Amino acid sequence: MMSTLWSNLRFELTSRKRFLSPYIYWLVLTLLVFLMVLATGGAFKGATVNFGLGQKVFINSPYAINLYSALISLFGILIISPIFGQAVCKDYEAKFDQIVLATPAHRTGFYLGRFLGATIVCILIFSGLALGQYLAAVLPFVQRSLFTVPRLSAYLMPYFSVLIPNIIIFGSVAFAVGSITKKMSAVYIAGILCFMGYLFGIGLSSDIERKVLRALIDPFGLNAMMSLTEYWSVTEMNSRLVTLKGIFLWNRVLWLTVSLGFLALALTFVQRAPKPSKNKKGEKATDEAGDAVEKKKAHGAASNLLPNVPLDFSGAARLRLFVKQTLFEAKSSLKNIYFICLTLAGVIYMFALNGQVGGKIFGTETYPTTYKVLELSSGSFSIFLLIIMTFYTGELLWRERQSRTDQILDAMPVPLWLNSMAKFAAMQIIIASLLLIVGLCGMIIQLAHGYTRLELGQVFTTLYSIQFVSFLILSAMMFTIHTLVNNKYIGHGLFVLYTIVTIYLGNAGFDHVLYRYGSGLGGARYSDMNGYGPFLLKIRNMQLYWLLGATLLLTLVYLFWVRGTDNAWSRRFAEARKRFTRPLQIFVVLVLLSFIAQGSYIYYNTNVVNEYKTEKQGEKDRLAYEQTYKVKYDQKPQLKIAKVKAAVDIFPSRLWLKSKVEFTFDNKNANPVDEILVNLPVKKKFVNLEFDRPTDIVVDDEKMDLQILRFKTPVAPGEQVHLVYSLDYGYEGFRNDSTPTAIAANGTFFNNQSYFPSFGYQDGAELGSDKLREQYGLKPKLRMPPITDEAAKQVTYVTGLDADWIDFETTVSTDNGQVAIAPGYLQKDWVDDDRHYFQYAMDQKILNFYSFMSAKYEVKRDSWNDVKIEVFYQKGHEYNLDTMIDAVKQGLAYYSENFGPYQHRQFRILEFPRYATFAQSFPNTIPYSEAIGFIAKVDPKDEEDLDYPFYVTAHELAHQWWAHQVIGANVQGATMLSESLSQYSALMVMEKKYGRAKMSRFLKHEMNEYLQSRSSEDKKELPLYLNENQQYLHYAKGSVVMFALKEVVGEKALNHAIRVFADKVRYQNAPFTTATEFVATLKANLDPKFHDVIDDLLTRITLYDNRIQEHSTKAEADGTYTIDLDILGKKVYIDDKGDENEAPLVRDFEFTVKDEEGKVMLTQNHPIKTGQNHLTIRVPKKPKVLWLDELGIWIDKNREDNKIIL
Amino acid sequence: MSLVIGDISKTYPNGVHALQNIQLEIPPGMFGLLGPNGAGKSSLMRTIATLQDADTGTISFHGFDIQKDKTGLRRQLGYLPQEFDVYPKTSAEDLLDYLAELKGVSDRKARKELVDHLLAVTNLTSMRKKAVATYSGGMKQRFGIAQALIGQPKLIIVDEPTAGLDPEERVRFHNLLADIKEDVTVILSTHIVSDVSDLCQNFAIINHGKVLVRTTPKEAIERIRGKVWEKRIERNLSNNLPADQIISMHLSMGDQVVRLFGEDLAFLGAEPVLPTLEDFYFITIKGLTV
Repeated sequence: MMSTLWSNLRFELTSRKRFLSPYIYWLVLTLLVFLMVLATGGAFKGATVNFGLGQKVFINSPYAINLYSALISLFGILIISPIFGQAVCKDYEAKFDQIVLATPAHRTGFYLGRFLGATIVCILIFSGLALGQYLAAVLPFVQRSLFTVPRLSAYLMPYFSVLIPNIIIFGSVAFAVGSITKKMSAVYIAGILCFMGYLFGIGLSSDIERKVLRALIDPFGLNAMMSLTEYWSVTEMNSRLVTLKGIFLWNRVLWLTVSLGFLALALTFVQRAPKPSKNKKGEKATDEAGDAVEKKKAHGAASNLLPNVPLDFSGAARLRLFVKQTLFEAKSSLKNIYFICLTLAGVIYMFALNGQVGGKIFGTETYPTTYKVLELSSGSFSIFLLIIMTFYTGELLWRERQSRTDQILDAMPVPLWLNSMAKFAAMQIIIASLLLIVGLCGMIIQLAHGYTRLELGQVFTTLYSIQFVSFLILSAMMFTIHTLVNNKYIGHGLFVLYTIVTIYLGNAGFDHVLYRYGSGLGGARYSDMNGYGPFLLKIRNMQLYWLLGATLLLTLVYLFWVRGTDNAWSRRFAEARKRFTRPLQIFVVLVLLSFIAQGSYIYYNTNVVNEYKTEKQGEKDRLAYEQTYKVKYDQKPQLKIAKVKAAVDIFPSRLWLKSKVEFTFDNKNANPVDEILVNLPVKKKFVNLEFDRPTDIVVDDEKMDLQILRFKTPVAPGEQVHLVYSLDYGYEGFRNDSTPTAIAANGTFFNNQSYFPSFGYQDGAELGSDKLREQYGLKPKLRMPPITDEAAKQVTYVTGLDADWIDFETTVSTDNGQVAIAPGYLQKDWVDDDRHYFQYAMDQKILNFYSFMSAKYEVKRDSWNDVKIEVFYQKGHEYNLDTMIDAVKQGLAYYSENFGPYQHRQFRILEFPRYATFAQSFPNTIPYSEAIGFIAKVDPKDEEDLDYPFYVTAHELAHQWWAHQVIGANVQGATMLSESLSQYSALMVMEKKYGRAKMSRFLKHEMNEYLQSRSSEDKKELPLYLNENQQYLHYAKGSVVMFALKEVVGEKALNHAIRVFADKVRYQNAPFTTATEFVATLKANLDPKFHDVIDDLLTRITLYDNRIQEHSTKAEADGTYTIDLDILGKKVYIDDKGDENEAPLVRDFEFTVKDEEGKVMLTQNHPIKTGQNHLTIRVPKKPKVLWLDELGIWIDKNREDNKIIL
Repeated sequence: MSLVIGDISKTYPNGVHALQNIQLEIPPGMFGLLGPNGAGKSSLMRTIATLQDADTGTISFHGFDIQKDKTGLRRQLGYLPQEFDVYPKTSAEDLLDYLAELKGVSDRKARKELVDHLLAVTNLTSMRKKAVATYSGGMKQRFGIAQALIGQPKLIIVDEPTAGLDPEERVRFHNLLADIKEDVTVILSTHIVSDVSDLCQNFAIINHGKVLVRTTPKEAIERIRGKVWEKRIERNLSNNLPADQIISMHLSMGDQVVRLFGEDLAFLGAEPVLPTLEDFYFITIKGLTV
């Protein structure tokens, strides 16, 4: 056996040596990872990719190397499968099997040798990964600061944890499938199905409950690795080796065991003698038997061997033949077992994802609206569709040659176009059928959810008039590549390469739709409010353009179509020249001219009517802005807006906007102001500026859309200036980049920052990413001024330099039939010349932050005390109106009781299209996306469901206090005062409604979000009170720590302290308040014994790592039970460098014990200190589950070990 | 002459000179193309069947250039390649129907009749529902000829159709070919001499990509009449016969039988025998001279 093993191993290696493919594979992998590192390392200016790495994680850190290796090994399956498959199948494919298997070689040894040989070949191929990563990291083009000192172990580790195990795992699968089926095509399919494990894992990721399953189910180990390192800090990622432990180890052990099973299966199957090829003998006998009878007949017939038959070579007959041929080709693909398997796999996957109608928010479903289901279905199915397309392009084009019918068929009197175009048409039938499946499955999913509002028109438009065309255009490229290279495997390889290059080019700044084949064909976001909105114009134009392009490609396919047995390039060229007849030349010229004409029209739209700017140009402009204006204008004393009076005319039907805004400025400075810097929101030609005193234009920077004007007479302190700003602007044609949606046919929503000017130097316009700044030779930028920056305290973080508090009134008009809304109270409305005018006035000073909206609305009205509540919504979106109104009422009650009175007499919620998915709080006005609360499907019976329409509404309402009354200075920690306090307020209203126990679900999400995001922190993590407008801190951590604080000090005491703070700073003028003042106020109004916990929660980064190490349960004589627990207590502080330092822990933690029905038997507080703790808990009944901090208010790095099942 | 091959040459990208200045004029009727394996027969056949182009030279069929109007030739062509398989899981009946449609028999009823007829003449009627891929070698070749007969071809090319067939199948196949009307040009390539002697009015011998001779079987035998000799030698005795006169050697009842080519070889102890076409073939291939 050993000698057979050895000789086969050698044979496997030596025979591969002569093939080109292993070298190509090696080169491709090495190059791929090389480019990945170069791109992340900033070697290509303008390309900012990170493949999921945080900015502060070194690109050659152990974590990054592991991540890249694992990502590449996803592609690796395309290499592993064929190599292992061929190790068994090559004998059968070459019909050499009978010779090889007739040798007396030991079968097990024979195939084990082949298996090991293939393993070694794959390891050699993958050896380029470490090399490529290492080489790219030491090249001079990369930014040194993004790399650390290379460590050999970091490069080697992935081989043992990811790469070699994956080779064995996927190799054994391919080997087993090859042994059983003896067919390479089956091996490929198996490889593709292996992707499913990974995809399923990813698909499960929206539910944190399934973390373990997600990590285990993925045969690539990528999800397990992610799960292991999920909460790693940046320091850990940079220094710790990703070793095999925990869930990662279990994943590897599990799948290697499975792979041994596959190998055993393979070895058993190869022991079996190959099946005798069909039952030839039996059939032949029948033939002989029939022969005698037939002979007589044959003799008579023979006299007329070539009977007269009517032959028809007319055009009509050709056309009929074309249709028939197309159907024949399509049918033979659709009937194919592999096709059915792949489709089925796709369908299962689609259902698996749709079972929960993804896009869950806080684990809660939304209604399966048609667009959601379509996006999800076609999104999840599209990978299968692409695989099927790729695979079947090869199969279609090679079918005759593979079945060796080609010589007969090629000699048939069938015109060339008929063959080639019938195959192309057949591919379109395949695509169309697959899309039909997507559509049908989508509707089944909708019905299964009890959702009966089926929209066939939308299904058709999305799937056929948008997606199908895009697939058709792509398939023309596939056909071209395959026809030109005329080798199935190289064809597949090149197509994959083409796809990667296309994606890469896009990332690298080559982003114009004119030269990126097949681009600009998608991106329509359907909205219930606005339908397909503005997207179709560009799509239709791009479709025409690329269909013409595809026609040119198909001409190439026709010209270079291989017919016959001679396919030398010189011949094919000669043949193509012959096929390029005069009529075809004329056709090509016509198509080419149309292509160019349409291209010019697109260019006119993207580059002439609209501005085309590459990402890189955008960066350069921002660089120039900073370099040109920062020194002179940053922090320069300037005029402040005191009053805004806006006349805004929205023309939804033609996406146009006219407005005339009167700004009144105050000079609140001690010195005269002689200049004003105006940042225009759009090109100069659309606006006009008119001051009420003479000005000179000092700077007119058309590139930056910026003007600096000098007042002929400077504005004296205390003096006022008026500016009339006129805008006559709208959307014309279509753009290369994303289509703007703020002005919409139904559902216009924009705020003053979008279309009104801002004044003074905007440091938000500077380049933000430190990586980019370094490339351009700039110093890193502060995300926010430090909390001690006195100058920065002169402005609020929302409105910046422009204004503090302003008076506001506006008249908004829109097309008759729509309602136009802006902050303020409706004074009157009237219709004039088929336009509807609405006049609003605000009786209260507001922040310089206001919105304008217009749509056809339904209105639901209610009131709380003297506050009018209105919800403006899209017809059909009635699902959660009552919840929202309930949240408003409860919120108004709680907030006004605890934090001070509500400043308005009205509260409005306004739905806007799902082009953005947020709700935003403007004075007495909350624009609220149709995608987040309006279609939420909250099941009140589901324990796990979270009523987020209620939560979001309560949160936005709370902003009327936290932001619109109390506003922080533009320094670190400002958003704690607006966002964290709004989170806290909303949580309190939720707790009132749903009870304390239900809060654990929400807090768990928030804690998880915080722990995950802190590992991808770009700079360094800050304590909450210093957060720099970071969502993972001010929302996620904010919720948890504020709730914890409430638990510790009590709701009443905390609310009182907050109220004291609010009363002190409400509507305050510069300098504005800070988080420091907030913390100080809390401390001053709470018992000093709480000061340390306040610091732990708000001013330090504190993490716990408590662990229940041992536990035992004893039944007592009296029927009660005692639980003995050994608990390891640990608390750490994260220091400035991001390192963990253990800190003394003494704190009460809540223990919850539940009985077998899941009912809480006991809730008790027990102190836990650093190190070993012993604890005995007595319960009346048999306990089932014990939790340490079930609510989840203390941020614990690993909560899995805080729960025990008894 | 119906088919005129004018000085065609072909070199493959790997450097093999498959055809070198082939000139042949082929009349209607059965024409044999005889040559050993690798002589260039299939290259020539494929070139005539429009599956590949010659580097130089022309081929015309009834006066028109087939390289210029391939479809024109294909409408009159029946072709049975040397090696072919068919789509898996497709029955003979379905496949013939499909091919007939490709060949221009668009009328459904006419096609059905034609397919039935072809299945009958090739003795495949009882097997018509079976997948062609499961056929035995002989049946597959009969299927192959059936498809080549579709659509009244004027030119039928059959490439090594009898290789690997058992004697009975070969006879059956010969009978089929012999039944083809005489105004049709049939080119049969083979390395089996009896295929030619049994069937062909004319034939050519080709080797190393060149036409060595073009003649009729009768004339060929006439040419070597009286020059073929035979000598029996005991097997284990060495012979010292002149190597450049040996046509062939074979065993007969344990003795070595040597056939020789020469004017008078009685002095070697050989006896004159009746020449066969096989003798002519070997003499030509080996380039023996008197």
